[in-house]
Amino acid sequence: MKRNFSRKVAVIQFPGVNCEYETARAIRTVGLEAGLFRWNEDPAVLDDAVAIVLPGGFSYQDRIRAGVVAAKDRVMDKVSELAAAGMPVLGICNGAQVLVESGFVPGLQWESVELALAPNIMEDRSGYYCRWVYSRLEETGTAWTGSFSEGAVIPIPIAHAEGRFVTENEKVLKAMKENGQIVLRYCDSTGVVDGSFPANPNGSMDNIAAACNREGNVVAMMPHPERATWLRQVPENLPDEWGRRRRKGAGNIDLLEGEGPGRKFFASLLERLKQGGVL
Amino acid sequence: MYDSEVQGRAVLRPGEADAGVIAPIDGKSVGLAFSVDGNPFYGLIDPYQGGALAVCEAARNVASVGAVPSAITDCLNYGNPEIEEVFWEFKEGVRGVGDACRKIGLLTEEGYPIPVVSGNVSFYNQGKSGKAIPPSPIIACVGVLDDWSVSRSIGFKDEGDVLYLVGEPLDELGGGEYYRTVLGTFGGNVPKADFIRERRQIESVIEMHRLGWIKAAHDISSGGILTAIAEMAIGQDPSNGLGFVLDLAELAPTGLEPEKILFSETGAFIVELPAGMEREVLALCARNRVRLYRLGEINSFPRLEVIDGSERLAIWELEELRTAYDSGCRDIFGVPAGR
Repeated sequence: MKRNFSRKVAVIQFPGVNCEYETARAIRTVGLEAGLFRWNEDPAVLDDAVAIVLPGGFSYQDRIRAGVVAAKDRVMDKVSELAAAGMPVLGICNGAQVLVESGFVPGLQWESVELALAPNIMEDRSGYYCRWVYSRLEETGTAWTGSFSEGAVIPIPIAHAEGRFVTENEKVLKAMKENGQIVLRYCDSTGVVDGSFPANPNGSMDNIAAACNREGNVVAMMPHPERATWLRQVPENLPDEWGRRRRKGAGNIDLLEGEGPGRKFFASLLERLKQGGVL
Repeated sequence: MYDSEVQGRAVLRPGEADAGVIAPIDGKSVGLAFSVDGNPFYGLIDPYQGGALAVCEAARNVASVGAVPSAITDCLNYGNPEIEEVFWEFKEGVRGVGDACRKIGLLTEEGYPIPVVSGNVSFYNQGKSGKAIPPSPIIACVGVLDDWSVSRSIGFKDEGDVLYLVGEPLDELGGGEYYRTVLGTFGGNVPKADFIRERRQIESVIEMHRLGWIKAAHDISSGGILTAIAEMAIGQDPSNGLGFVLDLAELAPTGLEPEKILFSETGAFIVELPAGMEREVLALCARNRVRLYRLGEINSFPRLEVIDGSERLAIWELEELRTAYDSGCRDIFGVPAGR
């Protein structure tokens, strides 16, 4: 039986991803509906979806290069078609790698690969890195960031070994800046964009943590908003308002199940869909 | 480093507290706590205590976040069992694990042991010379919480809160951090697992969690009371800059010399409670027949100080402690500082 994605956000389940369930749960916290799309289902069912999310994990075991096999999956032809038509698409971590390998982000020339998410190299640190970092919101005009205020400092976890945005073509970076395609930049807890570790955790060019296509409907982000959707997920010793809120919530499940710093990415989508009359 | 955030259910991550905590079921308050622990140096002196103390510590770790120790799994690492002495070490280790599970017991089912639900044995762990590794039982403990929202990180929370020691240091520093790293010796007087004492202390700390009193808790293990307090200072929100003065006069009734008070690894807990709870906490501990010492109040100076009455014995800036804590492995493995 074909599944119905009408009014739903489709979370694409490639073999090897491991964040699809919590990503769907996180989407539901803002009142949106979400469903999982298995990679080998008929892509045509996605026509009815209101948005698409590519979750984190290790699609196709990260064979060859993270995200590159999934980028060639036939479902991505459908995602390309829908994204080009303006449907909101978010890639989180491995999903971001898929979007970059598909040539949707930055998408200056649609479907041509202009960026890479290269192995983390920071001074002489390298390899997999899992921790809470800070990012600054640079662009509120995307489908996924409209509910934030410009310059908002967002604590959020990263967990990746290949998250360093790079391009060898300076024109690409220049165009991205001019077009407002840099969505999030790594920063310190006060919002200062500092190129050195630990503010920049992976050596990403210009501290880029998330980027989008020119139209802003497709966003590729390395940090995990679904791991910062509930207040209980926030570490108690975070040196900011979120840390204080988390400590105050101790003993109160309702407070701790309340909003975390990353929920607004999904709230932004709801807002956008309502504005656009999709919902 | 591994992915401690996947599935989005984290409440406390590794390093934030003595045990990791997750909220496994949507809309339910039930929580699960996990801890893995083992100290090969105790087993080197006394393989029975090595096994028993590993269970005690794993159980303490989950109790530190308010969870009831509910099951363990073991990973028993020894040398060549064909050698009689090594097999004896193994046998003693298993006896220690079994005794601890039976005598600490399930808090929720009187008379039942903490179940050992699985395990693995690894023999023939030896160097090229044939010398066996120290007996190394590693214990993982699962704890269950009625309400995960009571679980707190080990870090200091607020100025004016009071630190208490639930338990008491004994003169048993053998195999401990102080002997090995400061004095360069093992000693022979290894801590003796006291299962009844452990059980009572664990019950008391879980009860304090349930009552919503605990703002931070940390168990005493490697490095003793001083290390535990330092870790609680290091674990706080770094923008808070809270500190503590440990006055050994508060622990004078133990009758121990300063270094024994500071570094004894006798199983116990340090808890941070709001001010003004002295009577309640004393009553709770008296009822549960556990020792309690009021250690003092958290202050707003970012340093850790040890005094003995009017005499200052040591003082560290918080930043100095944090740097030492964060770069310990780098120093050992020869990675230059600042990376």
